Amino acid sequence: MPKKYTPGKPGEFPFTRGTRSLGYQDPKKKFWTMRMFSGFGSAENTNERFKKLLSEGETGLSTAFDMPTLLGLDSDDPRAKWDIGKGGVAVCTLEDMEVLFKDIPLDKVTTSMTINAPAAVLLAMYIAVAEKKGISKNQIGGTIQNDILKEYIAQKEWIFPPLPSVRLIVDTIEYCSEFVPRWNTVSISGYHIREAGATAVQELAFTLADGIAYVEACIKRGLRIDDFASRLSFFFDFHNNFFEEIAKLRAARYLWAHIIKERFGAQNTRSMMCRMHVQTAGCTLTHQQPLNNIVRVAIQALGAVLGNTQSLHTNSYDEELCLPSEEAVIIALRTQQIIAHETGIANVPDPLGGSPYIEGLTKKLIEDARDYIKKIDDMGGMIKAIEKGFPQKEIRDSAWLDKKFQDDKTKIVVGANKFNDTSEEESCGNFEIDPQAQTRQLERLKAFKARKNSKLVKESLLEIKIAAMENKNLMPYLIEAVKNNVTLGEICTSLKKVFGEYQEVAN
Amino acid sequence: MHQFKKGIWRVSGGGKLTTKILLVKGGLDGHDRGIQIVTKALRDSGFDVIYGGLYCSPEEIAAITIQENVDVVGISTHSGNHLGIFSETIKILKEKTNTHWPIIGGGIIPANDIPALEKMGVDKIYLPSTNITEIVEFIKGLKLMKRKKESQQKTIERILKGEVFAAASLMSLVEQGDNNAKKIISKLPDLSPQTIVVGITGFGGVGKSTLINKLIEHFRKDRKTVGVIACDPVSVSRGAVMGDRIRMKDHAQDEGVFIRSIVQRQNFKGVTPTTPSIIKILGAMKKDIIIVETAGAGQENSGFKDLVKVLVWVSVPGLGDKIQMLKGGGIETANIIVVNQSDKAASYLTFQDLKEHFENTKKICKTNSLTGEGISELVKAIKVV
Ligand SMILES: Nc1nc2c(ncn2[C@@H]2O[C@H](COP(=O)(O)OP(=O)(O)OP(=O)(O)O)[C@@H](O)[C@H]2O)c(=O)[nH]1
Ligand SMILES: [Mg+2]
Repeated sequence: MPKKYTPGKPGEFPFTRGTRSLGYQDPKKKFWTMRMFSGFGSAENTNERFKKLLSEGETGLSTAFDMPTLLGLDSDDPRAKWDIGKGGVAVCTLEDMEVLFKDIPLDKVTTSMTINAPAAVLLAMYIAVAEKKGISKNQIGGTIQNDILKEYIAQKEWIFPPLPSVRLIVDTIEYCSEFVPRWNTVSISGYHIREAGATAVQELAFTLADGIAYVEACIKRGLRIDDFASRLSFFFDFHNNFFEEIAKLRAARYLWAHIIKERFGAQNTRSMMCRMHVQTAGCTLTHQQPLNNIVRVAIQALGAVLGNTQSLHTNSYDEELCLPSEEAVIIALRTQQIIAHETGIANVPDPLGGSPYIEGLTKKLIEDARDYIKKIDDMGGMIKAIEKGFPQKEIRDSAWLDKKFQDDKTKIVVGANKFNDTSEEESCGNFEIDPQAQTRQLERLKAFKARKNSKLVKESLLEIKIAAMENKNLMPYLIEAVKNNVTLGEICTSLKKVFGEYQEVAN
Repeated sequence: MHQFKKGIWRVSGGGKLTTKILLVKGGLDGHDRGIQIVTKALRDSGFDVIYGGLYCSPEEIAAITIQENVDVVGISTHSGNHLGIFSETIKILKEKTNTHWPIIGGGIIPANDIPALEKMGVDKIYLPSTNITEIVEFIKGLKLMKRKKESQQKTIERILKGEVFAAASLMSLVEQGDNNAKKIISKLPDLSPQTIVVGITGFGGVGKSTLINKLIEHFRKDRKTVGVIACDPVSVSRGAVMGDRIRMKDHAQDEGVFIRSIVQRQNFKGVTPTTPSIIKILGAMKKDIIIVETAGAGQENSGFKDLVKVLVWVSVPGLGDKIQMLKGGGIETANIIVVNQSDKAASYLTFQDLKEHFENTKKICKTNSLTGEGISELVKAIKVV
């Protein structure tokens, strides 16, 4: 990497100033994708919310799954009991997935699915649903989060140990680069790392180090960097420190471009682009005086746009209190629309570029993140660092300091530890999950399991196990299995037998 | 049921005690930023914290609460499952102990749900912006519950019947230096000669607790009941985080397994002065196998062998010179030496080194505690000692 920091021009290597020369005025895609994360209850409930959001002008779907789904458990697993349809939608079968995307043109909208440990299975279901609708694999577009390393580091929702998990990710990358070319295979996520308490530098460095680990695993598999790198994307948090956060997004693009070009020898400039989705920081919202959150989100969203993100989720002001109500979700979406259509901020590419303060901050973040990445390289890469508990500990220490500063009021949180005398009633937009959702889900699953051909299921599971043991790419087997009505839980149970299960590192 | 007009009472009663708090993530939820901070803060305030880990079910939470006889149960949840998790945990605790246990909650919990939670018996909900000192003050403000008077004979009967709550309460009284408890202990029957007491020692982090998890699994398949005493060191704050239990989570719900965490405030043969009494209680509960994990390893453990029947020294590949250093220390008294983490490189070399060094005076085993490889060999060796 060069000693001297040169930001370059918008749309040119190293893309510090954005990946497009015309910025948000690119006629091919004006502004950015306004993608609102949603999912709750049963597939029917979420399908309804999807259609509502599309009719309100949203341009891409984003799915939140419930905890059992994220952990590869069917809704009828005893451990799932208290979490079905809470905080996301339950999807265990191809049938659930069909209900979820009923009447939605999968060749026209793109879908982002926040799913990690069992991402390959959910992708298999999505492909199978599209094919049932007569849409072929190469027409569908979307993203799976599929970033397991940040789970061990921060979000702690895992199934298998790191090595087989990364192998599954490489399977999806390899398969999609050949058959599902419009699919973004991994959304390498700093968001959860930041929300777990990391600093801006830690978010930046750990996320890029995760990216490096995935690229290395793909190369080890024999993939060529230019065949897959352009489909890796990133997901960052936009926290409170306005200019530092803008600089963070710029530094991420700068560093990734250099890493892909110099460390991995890419030739195609598209491979070097760090395309990103940004979400405003959930952890900065307060349950006290919740309307203040609308202002926080607006400021963060503004910063994300000034930082040249490709895609944005704005949080709902009530999500510290409950599941976002429809009203709050619409305000959050309107916030983006106001920034896009009323403020003129999107008129020129990277209006802040060249400001000594912004460029200075960007340079500083680049240097600090580079030091961290070097440290992780010296440990033998991110997987080794995770086994040592290194990023986990760094984040825990930062979270601890942050809490301390809030408690002793070195850090002011308006309405929470200061200016909190107006005891505003904490009302919540009385949105509740459909009480029938859980019963509906369990009944559908029961009927589904009763109907299916158990011989075919057993055969599919056996084939998956053999393919897993023989290190074959699992994607075709997974697609076949979900078409044969094998459930998510059944697939993950079989894979656990081959891969083992990950145990929490406590220290 | 014990009912009190004012105040929240801790169940574990008695003397100049330290406060023991169980912290868990309830249900399927991995967001542990808050609970990690609270764990550290409470330890630094001088409390003993049992970190129960991620993904705990109400059944597991209740079982740990009773076995450890904790003063406060803290459940963190961010996934919207709180109503179910809290009500079920409280319900099980009531069924099993007929007592209200102090219970607090934290995480993302809608204000609208707080009245319902309070009604079902949650004492306090702490939202993310809570100043930690509030939690500390709450715990310090808990009142001590006076125990219902019960004759010594009655307590002994309940323990002999294997009643978990009675045994766990007696252990707390022992830890608090209660005189009546001492008398009860002296009246409990001596260990039966069939009971196998296994000591597990070795340096920090070599995998002692993980190994015990696999041993329990093995013994349970054999239909043996198991008691475990897991000893952890105290921190400079005089508080402690007891982290052994989390490695034995597979057995949290098994009624044939009783796990008790203890803190080493005063070293006694590598464990605590109360350990012999706790072993005796577990024996009276008719546990077939009693496993004791030490807090540390080395010279200070001399005498540990007197407390157990079989002493297992756990080491890991690549210890090298440390083995030499230990000559004359605890390792000399061990019956069995285990090279754990046999999946790691150099495990064979360490195994050979130990074999040469101890010639045929000790049995040397190799285990992988993550997969269970080598455990049945170890169990065989334990049985022949
Ligand atoms: N690779 C490998 N790791 C293991 C093995 N046994 C334990 N571990 C890991 O080693 C770490 C420490 O394990 P513990 O069981 O807590 O070790 P301990 O000796 O009880 O630790 P202290 O009680 O703190 O002294 C954990 O991360 C375990 O997962 C093994 O056989 N192989
Ligand atoms: Mg231990």
